Amino acid sequence: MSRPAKVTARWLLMICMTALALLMTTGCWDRWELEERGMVLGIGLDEAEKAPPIPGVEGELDARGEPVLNVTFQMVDPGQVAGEKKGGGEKGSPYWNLTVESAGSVFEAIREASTRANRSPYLEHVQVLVIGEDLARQGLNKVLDALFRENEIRKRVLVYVTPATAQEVLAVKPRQEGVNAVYLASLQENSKKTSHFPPRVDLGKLSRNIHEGGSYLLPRIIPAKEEVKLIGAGVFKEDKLIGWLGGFESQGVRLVTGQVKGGSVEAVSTRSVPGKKSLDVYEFMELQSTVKPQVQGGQIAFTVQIQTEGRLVEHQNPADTLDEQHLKDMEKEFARAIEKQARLTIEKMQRDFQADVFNFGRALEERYPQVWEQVKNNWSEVFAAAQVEVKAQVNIRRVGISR
Amino acid sequence: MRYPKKISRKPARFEDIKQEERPLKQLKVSSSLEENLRILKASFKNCNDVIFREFEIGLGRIPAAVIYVDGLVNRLILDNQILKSLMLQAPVFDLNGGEEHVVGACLLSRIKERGLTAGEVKESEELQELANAILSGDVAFFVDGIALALIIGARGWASRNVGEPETESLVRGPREGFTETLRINTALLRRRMKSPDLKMEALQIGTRTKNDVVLAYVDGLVNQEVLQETKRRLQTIEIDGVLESGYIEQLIEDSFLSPFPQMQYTERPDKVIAALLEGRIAIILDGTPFVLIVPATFPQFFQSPEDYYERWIIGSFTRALRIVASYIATFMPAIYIAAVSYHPGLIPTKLLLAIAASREGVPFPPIVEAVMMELSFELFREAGARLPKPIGQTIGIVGGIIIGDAAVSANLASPIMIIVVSVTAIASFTIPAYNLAIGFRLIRFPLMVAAAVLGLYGVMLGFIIINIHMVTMKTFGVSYLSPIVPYQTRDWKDLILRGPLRALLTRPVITGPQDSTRQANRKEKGW
Repeated sequence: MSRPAKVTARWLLMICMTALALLMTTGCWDRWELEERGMVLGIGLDEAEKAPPIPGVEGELDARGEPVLNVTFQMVDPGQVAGEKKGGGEKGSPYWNLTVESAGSVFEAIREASTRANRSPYLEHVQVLVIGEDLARQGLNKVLDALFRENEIRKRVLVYVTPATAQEVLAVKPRQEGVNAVYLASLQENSKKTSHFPPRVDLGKLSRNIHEGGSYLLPRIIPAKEEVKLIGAGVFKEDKLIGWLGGFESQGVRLVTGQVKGGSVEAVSTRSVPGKKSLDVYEFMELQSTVKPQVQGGQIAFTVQIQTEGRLVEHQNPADTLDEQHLKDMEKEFARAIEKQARLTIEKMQRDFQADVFNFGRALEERYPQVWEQVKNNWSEVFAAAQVEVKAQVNIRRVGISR
Repeated sequence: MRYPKKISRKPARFEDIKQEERPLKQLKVSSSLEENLRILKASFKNCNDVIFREFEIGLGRIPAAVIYVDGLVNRLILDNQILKSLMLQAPVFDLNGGEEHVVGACLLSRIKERGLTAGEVKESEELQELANAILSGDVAFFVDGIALALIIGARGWASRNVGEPETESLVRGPREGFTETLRINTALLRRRMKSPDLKMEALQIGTRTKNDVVLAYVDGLVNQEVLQETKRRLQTIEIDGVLESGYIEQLIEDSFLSPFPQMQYTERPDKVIAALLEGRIAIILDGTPFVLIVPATFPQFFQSPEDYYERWIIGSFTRALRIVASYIATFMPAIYIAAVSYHPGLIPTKLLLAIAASREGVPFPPIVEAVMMELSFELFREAGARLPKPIGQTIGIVGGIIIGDAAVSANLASPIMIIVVSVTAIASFTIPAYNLAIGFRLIRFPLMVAAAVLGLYGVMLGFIIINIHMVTMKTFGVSYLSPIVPYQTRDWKDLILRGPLRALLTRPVITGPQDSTRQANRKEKGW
């Protein structure tokens, strides 16, 4: 039943000794207290000449060569995050930016930051990665490789590209949100309201895109003094930026790829009195699109079918919205507007960039693998020459209050 | 310096010992009253609460005596039913029987049958037994010329009234609690179960104190093996005295090294009856209101009678809440330490910012801070428990509010830590069984150290060790974690959730009751 107490006591003693010995031998090797970690919330990458380091420390690079790259870390100052600063005094900024020059290696820059920040950079909570235009035009792969491999960075980091410098974007003091990087990251969540920027691209997806070697979009962010604007996109081929899209075309891309969660399209009202234009606005509630490739005698063509349900949100003329015929007319009107937006975008991509950001190549590969094998090596040219037809079907579910 | 004389430990031969110095154990009642009284007086030397009352019976002028302990005897019974009837009403019961003189045992039985108007009377010829009866509050009655004595039950002493149980308060449920008197307690049980199957087996524990213990169980429901094992263990106890049922618990439990209790104690008769109906055994000790229930399994400690008195949805919710609370009470500080020191990546960014902001300026690592705050909380709890009730209330206010607030202002602790400690404390109070809650609170400290040394890995190791310990533990041959381990689907109806009463058709399998049907399957009623 029960062992003699002596044996039990001996066991207990042995367990205690073992535990003690084990405790003594551990080094708490992964221990890195919260107050010793410099939480980085945003990283910016720029070409060196475009963005001189602020604050600068002279001769930073010593003999490691010419600076080609500036890495900006947005670090949190936890003491300033809280509502009130202890002991009164002026409430400072909840974050500060540290720009480090580098001879080309991002990893070096991350480590280099520890020579200036007493809390060395801790990257697990990075929210955004902002890339400056000049760097993006030179190619992302060699710069981002360190971040792709880094185990401390999450793959969910949002990536933005900016026509200004990343440093400027990260330096914006937002009015609405305490920390700049949090503000930047939360803008992307407004996809439900507008489609004027492309769907989210995070580090993991960017890595896949770069290594697949196709074309893709990155959201474009434009800095101002106290706010930024997230609109449009940078068009990338392989890993290089080749041009910009505006908000209208960004929505066009979303329409073709069926990635619309919100946003609206406007059309001139069918009941407009000539000379007095009034608008109808339609908001997407749901949208699906299918791409059908067709191959006929070496000619590759695509048909994009867009089906959408939504609601009428604005109807500027006094006609009765409950009139069956009028509704049908409006649906046609919106369908035309959608088709037009999609078509213009596709044409622009074919003509100006020869970049297939719609994944038409994927559809072709699924349907006609042999054809794809033949054309995949010069897909850009083939895509640019392809016939694309867009058909939209709109279903208005709600019209709101009619009187 | 004089050395004390060495005390001889050699036992004297039995014949050499003078009669009155012999242990009572070997003595029989003598036919001489004088002899009996002499021996007992010698035995009860210097006990001024033992009263020897000598008198003569009726008209026959037969010398007799009663011996009792003052304060343990109900004076009314002693005066009216024993002395009065023997001294004044002796003619009524006709000692001389009209013709021949009644003598010897015959006289005694005559007295027993016609003279004494007391309820409980029994004959005895062992002096030891008589002495025990006297000390238990009975009256011993000797008659001259008869080598036999009577034990007359006339117990009655001052005791606490049946009141509301202090340690287990309910919103809904009976407000009666056990008292310190064994008979009242057994009566409380008997009141709730009018069946001869409710057995109450008596035994005495404590070589010197001879405390009465009653083993209560329901014949036909109890598992015989568990019953035999319980009896065997109770009989192995050899200790000078058991002052509280906790003594018994510690002397017969299975693993005394475990932080988890293996017996339930309760002040509530309804809880005991519920356990008896599940085929468990109650151990009632005279002198304490706390009744032990064996075998107690882990899930039982999360049950409160109210789970069954309230409707099942409410009962299920509160019980699930307690189970969640037990995890919080055990692991929350450890997880906090691990997350802050090792894995901030697990915490959502905004929350981490808040934590970092609140920790700004705190000079200690989280483990030091946590141990400090947890210890101070335990200090407040202990202080509150030790102080008299009116003052104890203030400790909570001073401790919780003022000290906590001051610690935060002085940068000795972060507000988040205060929240963690408070939530942990409150969670541990939701567990109905105080002894289990204490166990959880104790486990917390090693877990916190493990978290500080190894991070979440350490917490997981601790969790695994606790699980291994609980799975391997048995109490009275029943698995401690049943019905979770070994798995019993049937009993899960009343484990985390409390199923509707009309679905609980069977008793728990764990105790292996002989009859497992609780209620007949309901036929469709008209509503």
